[in-house]
Amino acid sequence: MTLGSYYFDSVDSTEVIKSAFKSEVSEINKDGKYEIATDYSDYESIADPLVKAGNSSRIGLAATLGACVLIVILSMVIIIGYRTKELGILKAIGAKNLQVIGQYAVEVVLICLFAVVLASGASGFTAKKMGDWLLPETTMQNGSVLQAPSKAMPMFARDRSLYKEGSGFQGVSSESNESFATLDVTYRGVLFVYAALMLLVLSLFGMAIPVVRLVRLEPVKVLRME
Amino acid sequence: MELQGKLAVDIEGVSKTYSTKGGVVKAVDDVTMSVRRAEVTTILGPSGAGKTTLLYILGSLERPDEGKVNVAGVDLLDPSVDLTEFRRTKVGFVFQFFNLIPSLTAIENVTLPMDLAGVPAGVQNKTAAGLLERTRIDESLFNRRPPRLSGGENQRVAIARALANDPDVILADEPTGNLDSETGKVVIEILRSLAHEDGKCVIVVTHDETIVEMSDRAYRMEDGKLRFHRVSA
Ligand SMILES: Nc1ncnc2c1ncn2[C@@H]1O[C@H](COP(=O)(O)OP(=O)(O)O)[C@@H](O)[C@H]1O
Ligand SMILES: [Mg+2]
Repeated sequence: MTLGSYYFDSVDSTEVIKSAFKSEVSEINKDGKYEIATDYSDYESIADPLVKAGNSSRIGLAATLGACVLIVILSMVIIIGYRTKELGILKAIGAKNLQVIGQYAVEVVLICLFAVVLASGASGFTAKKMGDWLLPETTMQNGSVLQAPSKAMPMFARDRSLYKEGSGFQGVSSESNESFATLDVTYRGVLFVYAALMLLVLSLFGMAIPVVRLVRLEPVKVLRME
Repeated sequence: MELQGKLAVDIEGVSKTYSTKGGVVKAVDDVTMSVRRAEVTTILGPSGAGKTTLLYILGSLERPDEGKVNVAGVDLLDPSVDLTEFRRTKVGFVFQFFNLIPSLTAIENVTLPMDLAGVPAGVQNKTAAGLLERTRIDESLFNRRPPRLSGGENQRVAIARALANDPDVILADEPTGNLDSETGKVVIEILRSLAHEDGKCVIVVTHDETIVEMSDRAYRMEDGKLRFHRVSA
């Protein structure tokens, strides 16, 4: 006897599902005999696009983050190059190394903040585009399959683990079927802080080389450049 | 005057050699010189004579290979001396191309060295305003940035900056080199007043003979060698 199709998103949740199944199915099937047939390829056909969407958004996020780090490092090199003269003048009129570095660090931090805003905006945008691009396919191919269990099954196992933390996505509530096919891109506070910290740390590393250059910078070299 | 006669600069047997791909250049060659306070001293010489190098040695920006250098009572070759502190408080530089910070306003350029020296913020603006007045910068220009000031104005702001921490010695490298003769004259007048009214030791490096006329004492420099030129009447 077949009650319906149930799709599990992960092998890990088998035990949980089993026990939930037991309590639900045993009501109907009094002799306590039931069978769980796992069709992995079915699961894959449902989950794959979503996982892909998650992965590609993660790649997108990493790429934009990387790009931003590059921007930060580049702008620091440009700052140093473009403002060598100014920093040299500062030294000539008696600025301590720490004061010169401080001057420069303020600008770097400002640029970092700008880059963080840019990065989160850009990665949000990429993630959304990726999602839009991958998900319509999903609905067309598997729309019916996706929707079937949403009616029949207790929803503990579905979207929660398909959209993993850090992907930049948040699963849309399972109550409304129509919204299931779209992904809402939300800015997660934690993710944002994470990205900001990462940028800051990487920028600080990137700063090290220019700072060494700053300390070694001889004002005379700068003053003689005219 | 009481200040007259005190030595502000006292150097002896100073030499500086640069090695380049083209060979070795003796930019400063065994220079001995004493300069008093409250006087304008000029060093006249053609381009490449070593004037800038000598001036930078006096300002601790360059280190001589040999010799003794005492400026404003500080032995610049004593390894225990804090040269940054020296540059911040004992000397003031005036350059041919002004070297103001373009993103800062005129008055901010003048408060900058005070900032670096840790002068209380409340005092800075008042002092800076006084110095700008001294160098004949109109109050309406205080909040202008250097790109929007004329050459003469730029140089006068630069002189005010050099005075910010009340140094004993003003070192000016071709201060009129980028100005027309009229504005140059004003700049020299201001420098003279700093020596004669405030008792500063003012050293001006130039290749302009007319400036020599306005100085109290003049040296000539050629091929790194310094020789005495004249004392004004
Ligand atoms: N950093 C340097 N490296 C090599 N040669 C230099 C350097 N600075 C100055 N010189 C040389 O030293 C000589 C004196 O230069 P400088 O003091 O600038 O002369 P002036 O200011 O009288 O024109 C010049 O021949 C110049 O080319
Ligand atoms: Mg020169």
